[in-house]
Amino acid sequence: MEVIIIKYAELNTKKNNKNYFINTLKNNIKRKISDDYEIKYTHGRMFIYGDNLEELITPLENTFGIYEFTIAKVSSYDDLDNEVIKYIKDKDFDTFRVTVDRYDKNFKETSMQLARSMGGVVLKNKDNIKVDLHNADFELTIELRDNKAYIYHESYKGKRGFPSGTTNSATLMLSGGLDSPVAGYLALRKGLDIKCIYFDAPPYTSENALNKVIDLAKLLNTYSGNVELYVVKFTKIQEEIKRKTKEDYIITLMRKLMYKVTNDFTLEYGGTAIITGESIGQVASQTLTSMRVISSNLDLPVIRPLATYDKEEIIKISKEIDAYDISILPYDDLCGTFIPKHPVINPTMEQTDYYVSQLEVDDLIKNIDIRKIDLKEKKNKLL
Amino acid sequence: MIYLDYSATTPVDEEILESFIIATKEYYGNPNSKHYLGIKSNKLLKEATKQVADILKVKTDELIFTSGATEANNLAILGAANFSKNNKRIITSKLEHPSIYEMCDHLEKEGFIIDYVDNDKDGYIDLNHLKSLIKKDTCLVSISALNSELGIRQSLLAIKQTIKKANPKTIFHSDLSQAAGKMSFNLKDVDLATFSSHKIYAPIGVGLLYKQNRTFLKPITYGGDEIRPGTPAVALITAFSKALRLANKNLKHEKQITKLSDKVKLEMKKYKNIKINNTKASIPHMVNISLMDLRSEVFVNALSKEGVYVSTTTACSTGKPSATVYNLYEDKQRALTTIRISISHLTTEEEIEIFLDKFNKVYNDLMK
Repeated sequence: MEVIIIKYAELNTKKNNKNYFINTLKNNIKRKISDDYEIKYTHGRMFIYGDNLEELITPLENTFGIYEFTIAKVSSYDDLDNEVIKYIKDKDFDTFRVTVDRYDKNFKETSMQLARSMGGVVLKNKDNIKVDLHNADFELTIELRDNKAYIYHESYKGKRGFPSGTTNSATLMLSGGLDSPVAGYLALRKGLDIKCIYFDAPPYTSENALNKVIDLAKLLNTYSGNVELYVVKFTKIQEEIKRKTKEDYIITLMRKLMYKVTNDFTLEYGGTAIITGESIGQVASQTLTSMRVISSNLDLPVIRPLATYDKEEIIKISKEIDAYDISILPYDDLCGTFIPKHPVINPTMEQTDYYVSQLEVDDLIKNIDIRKIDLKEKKNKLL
Repeated sequence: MIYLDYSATTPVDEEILESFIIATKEYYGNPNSKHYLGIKSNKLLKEATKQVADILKVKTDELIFTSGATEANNLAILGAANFSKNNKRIITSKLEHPSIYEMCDHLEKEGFIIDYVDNDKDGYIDLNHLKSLIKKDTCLVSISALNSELGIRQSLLAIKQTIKKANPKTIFHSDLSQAAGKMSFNLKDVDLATFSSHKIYAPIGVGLLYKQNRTFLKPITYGGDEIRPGTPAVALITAFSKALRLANKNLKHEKQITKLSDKVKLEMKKYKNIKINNTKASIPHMVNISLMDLRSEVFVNALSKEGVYVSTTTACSTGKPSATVYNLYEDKQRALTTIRISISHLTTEEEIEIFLDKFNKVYNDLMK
């Protein structure tokens, strides 16, 4: 029999909530995998039983709250020799070592004794191999717990962080660019439940741009299973801004109103924060003065996970989470479409407030069209 | 009608045909167009590609759709040969499809050295010989996972390990067009792999080259940024994607096919002069025999008049002796008189009974 053994991530620091965290992690994993698998847990480890455990490697690698995991062969103490022989049979290595973790203090031998005797078993049953305690190309680990031995040799890194849904809900302002998906990913890693909001302004933005955002939201959802996407039809507000605002302030006003819409949307569903992909100084609208003007008069805190990251670091994470190839597709979002020649770098509160006062957008904001997009992968029936 | 030539091509599955027809009718926008219809086609194309990638456990950007297996083989072999500037050696086996030999002949004229790796009496590649053939300047090894005449199945993993140990830079290509739906395989074991749609119950006209991302090829056709330019055949690719999904389920029919195949072999053994060419490395889907006393074309024609369809060596090389059979048995008469009976999960016991009856009748008539 085989089992996946999962080591938890930062949960140990959360003494009081530990059960809640572990249970949430279990439910998050359950949502991603088939019902045929059985999940059990203790305070120290989680165990998944079933067939074809290799199929779970990718979903588990992409689950927050996991430090690392391994696929182990389960053996009784009596069968240990035979199981080890079977285990190493199809493995290809020249040097090896045996490591024993003895959690079962009733086991008759010490870790060292068992490691030595198992080393002997391996040597006797494979040709042309040597023991190398320091630089082995194959490390056979045997964990002893609850009257069973678990045999494995490689472990897979998890994504660490807190299990999704163990902290609060927040809204991610998702564009099709490089930054916001990365910001969303970092927020998800802190256990947040995320609703994404995207500002669509047809015909200024294309359906391809929207599809790109849907793909990014789906991608984020593979890490949590609880991500939602809402699309705001922003065209009328956009046109009103364009009519009443001097060109260099258009982006400032546009973003200010997007924040306002996001703020109201978040309050309505009971969320506690707004998350954006802004990075200080990256573009004109992301100077600190711009950020201050744009996000003044909001009820909610704005979390900017990337505020101090530089572009290279953002691209690195974007590639790691498989967002890069989607993000670089050449479809402009709204901010890209309306970019003025000389956007204001240091907008003032007074000037911004003046333009806002000129806009007739109260009704437009109140009656704004926000629709939820289904992120479930519905396979085309032609396939 | 008794169709027993599934290794040449397969009848199009009803469900796959329906997808193809709907895709052709409703998704006619050019997937590169920016309007709604184009975006709709593009979305279907992407979904179809994603499904293929998921089934084959590879990335979508490692898939290149072609017009068929022959083009995919050409792109793989010519593309790899032309990309490598100074490495002029190519290795292939003595069990390949004629199209591979034609290409190797062409490359030989261009200054490449072609080495042919030996196999044992069952058809398994001789790994020691392979190891000895791989030199510093060997750019490519092409060995098909499943031979198209006798259904000889190779271990891709063992071949790959031998190649990469001898020269990590040598590219390993395998033609899997016969293999899909008949045997399980792992694309981690190859750098390049060829697939064909019409061998798995989808329409003729689309093939696939898997190219792992660290392998580089020089294009053989030009007209766009892609390695294989041209407007993607959305409907054909959709049908292919569905066919591959269904083909994976066909693997579970091996027992049933073995039963039918054993029955055919058992009957064939009753003819004094007929020889069975399959080895223990063969999968059950192809029964290959040599008539010895009768020309294969004549026999195929006579069976055809009775409504029974089988083939001589492979459908692509009528009239020539079978290189595979000659390689294994070194008997020219045996290589000239081969018949391939290929069986699918669609084949029934009743069909096999009728086939055996007709076979007997035709054989006795022609031997008179």
